[in-house]
Amino acid sequence: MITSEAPMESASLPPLPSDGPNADGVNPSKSLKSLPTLALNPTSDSGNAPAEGEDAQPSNPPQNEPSKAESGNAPDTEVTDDELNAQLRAVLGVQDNDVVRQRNEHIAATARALLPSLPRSYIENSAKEELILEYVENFRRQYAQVYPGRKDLLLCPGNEFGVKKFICTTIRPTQLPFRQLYNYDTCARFVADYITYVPLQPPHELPQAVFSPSFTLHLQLGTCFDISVLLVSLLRGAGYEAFVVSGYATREVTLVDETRGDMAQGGYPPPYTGSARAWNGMAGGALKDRERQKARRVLEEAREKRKQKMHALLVGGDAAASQADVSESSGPKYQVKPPKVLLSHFALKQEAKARAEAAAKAENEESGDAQASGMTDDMEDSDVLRGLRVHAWVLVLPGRREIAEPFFIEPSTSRTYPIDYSMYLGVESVFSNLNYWVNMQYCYEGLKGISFDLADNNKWEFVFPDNTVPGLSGVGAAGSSGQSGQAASNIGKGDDEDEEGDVTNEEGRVDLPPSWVEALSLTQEQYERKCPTGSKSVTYRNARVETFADYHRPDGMITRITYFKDVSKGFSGEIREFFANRKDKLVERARIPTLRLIHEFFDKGRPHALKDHVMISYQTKEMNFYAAARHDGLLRRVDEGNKVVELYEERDDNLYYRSVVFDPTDSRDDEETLPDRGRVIKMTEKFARDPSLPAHQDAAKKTYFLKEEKVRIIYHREPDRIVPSFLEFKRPPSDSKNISLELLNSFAANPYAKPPKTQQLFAVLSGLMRSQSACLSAVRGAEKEVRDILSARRAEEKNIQLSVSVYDTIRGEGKAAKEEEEQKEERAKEEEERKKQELDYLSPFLINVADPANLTPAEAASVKDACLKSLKERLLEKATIIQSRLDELSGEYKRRQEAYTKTADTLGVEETEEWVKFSEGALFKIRILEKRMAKHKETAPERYVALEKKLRMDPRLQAVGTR
Amino acid sequence: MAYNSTEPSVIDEDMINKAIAEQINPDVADIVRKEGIDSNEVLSLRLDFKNILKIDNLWQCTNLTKLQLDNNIIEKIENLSHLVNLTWLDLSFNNITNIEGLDNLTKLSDLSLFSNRISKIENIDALINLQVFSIGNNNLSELDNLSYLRRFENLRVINCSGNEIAKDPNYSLYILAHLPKIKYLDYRLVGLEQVKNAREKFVDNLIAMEEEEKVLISKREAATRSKEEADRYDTAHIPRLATLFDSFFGEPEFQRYAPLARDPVTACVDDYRVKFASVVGDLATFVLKKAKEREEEIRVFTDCLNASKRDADAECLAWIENFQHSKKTNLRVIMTSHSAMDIDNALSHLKEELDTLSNNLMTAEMTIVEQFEDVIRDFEKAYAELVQSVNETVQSSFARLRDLENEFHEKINDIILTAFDRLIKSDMEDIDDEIRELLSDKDALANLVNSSHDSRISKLDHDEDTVTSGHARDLEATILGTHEREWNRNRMRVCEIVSFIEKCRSEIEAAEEGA
Repeated sequence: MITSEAPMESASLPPLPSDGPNADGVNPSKSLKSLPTLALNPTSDSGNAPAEGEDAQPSNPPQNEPSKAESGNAPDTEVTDDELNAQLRAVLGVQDNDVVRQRNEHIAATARALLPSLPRSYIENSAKEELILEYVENFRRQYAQVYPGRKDLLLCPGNEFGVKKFICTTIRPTQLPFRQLYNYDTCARFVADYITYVPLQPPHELPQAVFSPSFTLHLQLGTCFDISVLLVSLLRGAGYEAFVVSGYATREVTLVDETRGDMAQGGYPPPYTGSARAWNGMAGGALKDRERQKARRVLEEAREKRKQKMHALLVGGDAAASQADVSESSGPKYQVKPPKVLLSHFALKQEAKARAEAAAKAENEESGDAQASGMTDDMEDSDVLRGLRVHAWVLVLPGRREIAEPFFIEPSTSRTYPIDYSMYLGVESVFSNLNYWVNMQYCYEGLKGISFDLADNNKWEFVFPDNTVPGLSGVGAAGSSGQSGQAASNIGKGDDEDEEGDVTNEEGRVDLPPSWVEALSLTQEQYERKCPTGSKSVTYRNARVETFADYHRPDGMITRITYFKDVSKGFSGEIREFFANRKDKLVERARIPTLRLIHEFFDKGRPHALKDHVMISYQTKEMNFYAAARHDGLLRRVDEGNKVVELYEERDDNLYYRSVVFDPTDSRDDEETLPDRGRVIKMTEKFARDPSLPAHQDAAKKTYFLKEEKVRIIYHREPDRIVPSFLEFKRPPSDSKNISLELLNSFAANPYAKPPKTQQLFAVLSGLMRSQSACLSAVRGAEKEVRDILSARRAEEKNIQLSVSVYDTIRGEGKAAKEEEEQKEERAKEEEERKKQELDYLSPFLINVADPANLTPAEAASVKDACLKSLKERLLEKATIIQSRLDELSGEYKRRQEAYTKTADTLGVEETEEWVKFSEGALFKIRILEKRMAKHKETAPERYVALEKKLRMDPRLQAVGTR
Repeated sequence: MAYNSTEPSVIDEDMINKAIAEQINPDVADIVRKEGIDSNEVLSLRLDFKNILKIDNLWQCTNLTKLQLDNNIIEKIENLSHLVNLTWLDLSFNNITNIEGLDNLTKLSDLSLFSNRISKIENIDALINLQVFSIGNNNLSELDNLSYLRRFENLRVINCSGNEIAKDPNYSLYILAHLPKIKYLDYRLVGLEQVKNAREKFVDNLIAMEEEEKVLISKREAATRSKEEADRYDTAHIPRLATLFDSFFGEPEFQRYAPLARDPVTACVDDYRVKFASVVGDLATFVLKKAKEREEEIRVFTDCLNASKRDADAECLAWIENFQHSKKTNLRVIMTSHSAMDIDNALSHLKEELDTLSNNLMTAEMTIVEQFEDVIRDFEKAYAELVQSVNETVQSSFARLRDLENEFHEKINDIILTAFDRLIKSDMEDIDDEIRELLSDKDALANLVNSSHDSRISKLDHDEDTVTSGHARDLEATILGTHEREWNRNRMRVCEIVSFIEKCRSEIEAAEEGA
């Protein structure tokens, strides 16, 4: 920087006054004027005032507060120091100390927690880094000397552990494995959503610390510098020529205050009302009326057209007329002359005058609007710190990734701006991971006219001679390399010779060490969480936008936009909600509370192929369908209370319209009455032309007047005819088997045609009867379908379910499978545990022991004895039980036998049989018991021995053995 | 006719009427009996088991699409050629020996000749839409005969079982190889695999056959193309222009004197041919271009008429729509209201509206007529100019041709006379008799040359006349046609309006009476 030209430059340009900010200030005098008494402004007394972080808040209140009028205080009230302080804090945007302290504590705690997992580079400097720091310090000293009036540069802020690091090495280009992060717009959106923006404290000073991008990513919190560094790291990783810009911006930008911005600038959809998706039934009237309106419009248009033509003929010299002539002469060769219309010249002139007046009025209104919008701009000047608020944002230069024009990205909002954006007020420096450039241009008018050609040494001063030309564009690099090399050697020779000759290498160049930051990493889960808390809300002048991460909300909502009402435009406010991953395929719901209107939109793939659904006061007004997915080709169903209209598309029978009119007051129990609707009065079906039939035999409209007991069929118009033929029959009674034919009314467009024969009429009528019953059943089916849809919707809303893609490893099937596996394992473990418990035969004996795990020999012996004794007792007990039963039974048997032998002769057949039965049973039981007894006697010693052996082997009782 | 009657019969009116009567839906039988049926309304006819020997008397039933003549004793297919709408013809279980008389039934898609005595498939080339063909239980003996069916692009179902050929072991393979588009053979679904196998077996045969077919197709295409070209010339009224020159030198006069000096004459003819061809070529391109222009002119003109008609009709429709609506509401008032004043009001309102409507419609029609008259006049002028320019060019071209002819004639005359002189002087030994005869009379020779010239001139005159008169006729026809169409349209529209207004009036009057 300390090139030979530099002093000359400063000499030739008288500004750069030592008493005021220059490069920062849009208009130094103005910003100073607006701060007449704010002696606290440290930058105004010296650019090098040491920043003291949070503590640097002004403590000495000014004599007369500057923003009295602005803050709305009455001028005559006595203002206390406290109030002044509060005002000042408000002006500076200083936040509550508690909040700040808490945040700082949180940051410190997070850093401490992370510390063990981080490499040494985070907490200490390598020798090379030390060298660089010295080199940069040298640069800073010279800079401060040559430009004493300029503010400090952000060169070597501390990192999250307070270790000084050169800012360029803090940028760590990393490409993350997410497709969205590959493009600058989506990448910026992700960063803006993912990181919570924290305003600088105080707003007019450079930060004390700039976090490493990895830490910012972990913390999800950062100042404009932290976020910019992170964004540049990601953009550079994706191949963009991105730079951090350190400079000054307006209050709105630094505080991310969007309340003056329009929601549309954020790339959000416009309000539902007036959009193409809006329900057109809102505008007015039933379908029928709309048709009639169309007819009227045709007439009016025709009249208007004729008038215009006549007008053109009458006012020959008029410009409009000549235009019309031109258009006519360029038209087809043959044109019919317009019929004569009698018009008054005077009336025409009056009309033209009125039209001109109306146009002028509209123009006036527009300019009024412009003025109104200009007023909002004026309000910005009320910021006393205007031009002093430090801010950092991102610059993307052309040359890579098909970027043609340089532009800015505001990292806090992810919006892109042109490089002369008026809300950015000044640029101090620009840096990337390769080099650091200081702006040598004046920002009197914001960024207007500032060149971002970083290779231009008159406009940009570099720190490192290498990599001076961004984009590594061959020509530029070659052209300026000589110069820059020279410049660099100048720096090196100027100061380093006597002090640190060894910082530079032989050619007088310095190598920038690699970044000390670890490669950034982001898991899929973190990425999908999107916002720190899963949700984010931004308020604009005319709307509030809330975004939610996928699956964050149980109802699957991802965006909700609340449009504020605007009385001047007659807009009453509405809400649009967007959903994702809903099982019921709901993608959007628009609500207009004042109209009680709800309009829901669905994706393809729902049962009944529902596309959208309009309700007013929870009454269905209209449903639209994906016609191609339906076998009946239904496109639309409009409910007008007593009338239901259905529109169809691409049907084999050419039906495109069907309407039903109900009489709700007349409900009887027959097939022509629908539940909840009433009796069907009239049904109408309209058909498109079937080219395979002659027009006068191709039905265009069939109307079934159920109440008036007649049916009418209107045929298509023949070519060159304006009146269609029709036939009107009396509806034959449905119960009688033979159809009676009675023609009520008819018209044949061609009076010379042979009148139809009765048999033909008969065929028509029976066809009509058939289609009437088909129509009726279709109407019934439609009603049922509506009920089905509504009940399905109710059920879905009651129990909202989200669908998960099978490829989703976080919450999809993969995850479920993993969880299941884990659960299974756990269950198996538990089972084992329980079995163990169950099988622990020693537990009853260990109850009385103090420490069952470590038995003393004495205890072990006693336990063993007790165990064996218990077994013995049990075995004995069993033996006694068997014995006693045996005894009992055999005694009984003996007794009975004796009794029998005594009375055997006298007994009857029955008694003998009874005896036989008893003796058989008893003998069987005795035999079994004897067997059991024998077995018991056999096994008992064995079991005893087995237990003893087991006890000997039991690890808990090993103490016995060691005794 | 009794089922078991063995008396052979001929289809007659009684039989047809009876058959029709049998087919009628019983619900409407009474009505139909009263009204009778037009035989041209009959779409399908069933004449089975009638012992019919001879097909006849079906002239009336021109709209028949389905005809069943199965189980009769028919021996010859005849008198069916006027039933051009037939799509379904059943002649099964008869005694037919030859396939014939089906050439006009181009719409036929379904033909059954099951159980007859046919020994050869033939004479059905015209049935290009044939989809189902049943020839089972016949006397087909030549397997090769089946390849005849290759020409039917749409043929999907075929039945050949019960023939001699079905006993051939290669029978089904042969059919599948030669008719690969068949889906059902002898009532069975055909598999892709089978077709492939069959093709492999007969592949040599097939390739030759396919080559032949390709040649045939390209020939056909060339023929259609040349026909189109000829049509184009025809519509431009220069049909013979291209062959005109060649016809000049075919006549005997020229042939007679040409040998007199063969080489110079040929050179002269060639020269003449080149000049002639250039003039004729220019003329042809010009006339064809103009023909296109004429077409374009007509198209633009019709577009204009159609557009203004559409606009006017849209307006009329809107009026009618409005009136219909008002008629509906007013008639409802008349029918239901009890207040006499309401009814009167509605009636008078309705009548007033009807008058307005009638006025509007008629005015619109009159406007259209006036507008059209103007446009048609413009068109006539422009079209006549076009034709005139064509005629002028034609005349000038033919004048040039005539000049060429005269020039040629003089040359020829010179050549012939010099040759004559030279030959007269030379010795006559090695000269043909014919020439010698010519040499005998100089006047006769001159006459010969002159008459040849005259005939050529008259040919030219005739052709010129064809072209100009053709264009004149065209002009007349176009203009007359336009006028007539317009007049018809106008009559039709007026008639329509009047009848509609009358209809509405009578409805209103009926309502008035009812009220």
